[in-house]
Amino acid sequence: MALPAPTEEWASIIGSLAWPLVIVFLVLRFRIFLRAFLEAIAERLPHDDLEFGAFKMSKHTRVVSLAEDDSDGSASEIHDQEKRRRIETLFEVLGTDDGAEALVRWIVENMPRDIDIEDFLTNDLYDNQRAQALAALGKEA
Amino acid sequence: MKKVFYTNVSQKAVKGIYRLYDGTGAKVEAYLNPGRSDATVVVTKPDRAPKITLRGAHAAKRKDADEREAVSA
Repeated sequence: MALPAPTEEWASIIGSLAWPLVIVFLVLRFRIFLRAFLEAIAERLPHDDLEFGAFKMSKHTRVVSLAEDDSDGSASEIHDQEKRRRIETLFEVLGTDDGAEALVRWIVENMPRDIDIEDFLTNDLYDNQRAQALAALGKEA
Repeated sequence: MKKVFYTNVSQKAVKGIYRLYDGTGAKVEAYLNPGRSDATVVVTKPDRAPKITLRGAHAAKRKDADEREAVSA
């Protein structure tokens, strides 16, 4: 198959396609560095205000990381991934009418009346209870 | 304003996050990550945002139970 002639039109099309591909490549290539960078930011957040364009972060900002597709395979990473997967699965359950109803019913029957639902869904303290809720709902992560 | 960032959020879970903060006065924005199927969700809450509790649901459940008892009695 012959390559298209190097016309201005083709150069423009290729130019438009190139940037997204370069960005995706750079993110994949430097994802370990990016993760370290984000962890450094997370450590600074309790003390400093940070700003990245539209993403303004202050010391009151919380970052909740949900399940990632890749993992380094270490035991601690797998443990963290399981915790994140549970949070993500509960949000998926909450996203459907039936799931939300069943989840609210479980929380009403099993958790203190004044529990903060955001805490229940995201705080490390409630990881065991989240696992119990998922088991009861037949959605074990 | 307080912010909560949710990263690596599946599209199904985005719906759950919207539902969690619905009616709380929080602003929820979802940004699809380019080249991937997941999103980053930024929740901006008022400084004095109340806790999201189930007091209403508890009360509704008690009312239902009371009504059932009244009917059976």
